[in-house]
Amino acid sequence: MTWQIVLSIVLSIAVIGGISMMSKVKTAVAGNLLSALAMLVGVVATFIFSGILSVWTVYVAIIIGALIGGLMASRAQMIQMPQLVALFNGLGGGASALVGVMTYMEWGMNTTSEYPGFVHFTAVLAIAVGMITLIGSLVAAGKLARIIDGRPKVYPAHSAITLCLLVLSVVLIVLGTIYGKNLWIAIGTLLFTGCFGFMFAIRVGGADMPITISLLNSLSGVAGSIAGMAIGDIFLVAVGGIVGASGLLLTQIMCRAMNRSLMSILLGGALAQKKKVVPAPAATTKTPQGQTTQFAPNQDFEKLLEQLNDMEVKQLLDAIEALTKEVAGLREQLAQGGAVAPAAAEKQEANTPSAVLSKAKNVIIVPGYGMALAQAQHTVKQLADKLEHRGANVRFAIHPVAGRMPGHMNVLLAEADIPYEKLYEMDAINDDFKNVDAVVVIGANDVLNPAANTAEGTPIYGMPVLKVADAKEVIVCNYDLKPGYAGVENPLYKRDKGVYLCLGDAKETLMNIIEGIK
Amino acid sequence: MHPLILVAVFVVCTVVGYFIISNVPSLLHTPLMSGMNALSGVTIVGALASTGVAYLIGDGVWAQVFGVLAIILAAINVFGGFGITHRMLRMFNKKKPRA
Repeated sequence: MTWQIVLSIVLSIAVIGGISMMSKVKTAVAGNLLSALAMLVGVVATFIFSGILSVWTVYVAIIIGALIGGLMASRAQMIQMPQLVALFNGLGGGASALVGVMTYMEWGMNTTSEYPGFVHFTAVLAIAVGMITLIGSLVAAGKLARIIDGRPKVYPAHSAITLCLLVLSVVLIVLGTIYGKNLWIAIGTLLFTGCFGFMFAIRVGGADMPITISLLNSLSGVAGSIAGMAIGDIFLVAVGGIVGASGLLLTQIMCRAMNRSLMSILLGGALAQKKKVVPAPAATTKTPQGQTTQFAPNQDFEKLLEQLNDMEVKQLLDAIEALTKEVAGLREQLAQGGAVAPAAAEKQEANTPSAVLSKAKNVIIVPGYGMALAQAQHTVKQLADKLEHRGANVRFAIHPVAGRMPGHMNVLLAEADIPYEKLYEMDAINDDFKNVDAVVVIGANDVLNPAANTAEGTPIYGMPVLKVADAKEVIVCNYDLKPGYAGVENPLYKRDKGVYLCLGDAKETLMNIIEGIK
Repeated sequence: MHPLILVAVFVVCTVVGYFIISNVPSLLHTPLMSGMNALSGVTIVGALASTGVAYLIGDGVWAQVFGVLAIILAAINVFGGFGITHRMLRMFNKKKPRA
């Protein structure tokens, strides 16, 4: 027993070291391997201490799981990364729930515990938390993989039903603590907490999914830890606790990057659908969580503002419609080999995106989810290479929440062999936008929408954005001019000077630009 | 194992866990999340212990089915999680001039 405790402590320290190493670029690979090694030793030790070396079935089970997991991890494309992480995470939670069921039903226990109440309580709790993680993660993975509709879905009486399920789950946990080994309580807990997980995840929308996954990730650590309490395994309790806490901290870091509170994200979908003024994220200063200051303008003022916003949006819509028509016409003309119409040429200063880039010595590229969708990262690399060959300085500006999960763009650009030294975080590069010759936007919208600074009451209000609007020349390679996920029009598109819109599939538009650079 | 010890371990580990990461560059958010996701598969240890003992003492078929399922799910989480994290991190490093 003492050896078991000593080993658990050593392994837990190894896991702590692994996680902290993973938060630095240089040591990240080693950190991941260290964590994996600690886990391996933990598994081997479990075999020895539990005296189950002779049970061949468990080896088969491990091999099956390892094969499935290994194959999925090695075959998956980088763009599928978010849903895969969500899926794996859910399965871990599901495993914790099953361990909870087994412990609660007193299966696989050769000794009866001296503290039955504690074991029952933690076992049922493990079922609950594990099941919420499983179903919540599956919904999240389904939304990211577009198997189910990615938009936030709110059912009639959504909050009331969710609350009911929560209350029912709590009642079952209490009952389970009192009456151990009751199959109906176990099944009921699985059912109600599963439904709760579904209701809670279904109302979160696509762009907020990363934070939800991070939260579920933290939750699956907690589920493992609670399952560890139920079976009295210190290693499991320790690692689960570490993952739970650092997962929660990572979630907070991500929230801070979006300047949103966790609650407003979990409830945000519901509010956005009702087209109400989003109350929570308004006017937050950039301080650590908990110290945010909120202004509460009086209601009349708020109403007036809302009306103003509506008007502005209408005008914007008209302007954008006109612009879209104009661009479509231009494209047609270009396709026919004709010269650009004089009026339009005047507006665009007789410049084409390629001409602008040919002259540019200092370029910033802003990638977004559109680049991921179009799988354009390799084309982006070509563009960067071409510009660099011409002596230009090319940098990439990465918004903390560009894409569908934090760091999404980094992963994709790394896949295309773009060295990460060229990737700059928002704070490091934001003041440079006004100094560069040109900015190329690829499939990004919300993260550079200047409306985030002005359009109070919209979902993106208060979110720090890339100051693309400060740049002299902006080339936008987006699929269309529709508002991004947040549903807020981008006033940048109707700027008169120095904005070039290249609509369509980013891969094709980028190729055209590259070919045009002389 | 006394419940108080277990709860104490949990509390200590959450406090430690909360402070080990800070100022993570957003470059690493995804791999870090993915790595911690793999670590949350640590529940495989619990699944192994419960299932192994269930087989040894000859518990019913349901215990065995649940146990094997738990191991498979946890193993997918662990192997898939570490694998994909490693793949992601390797991409950051392959173009590095030194090391």
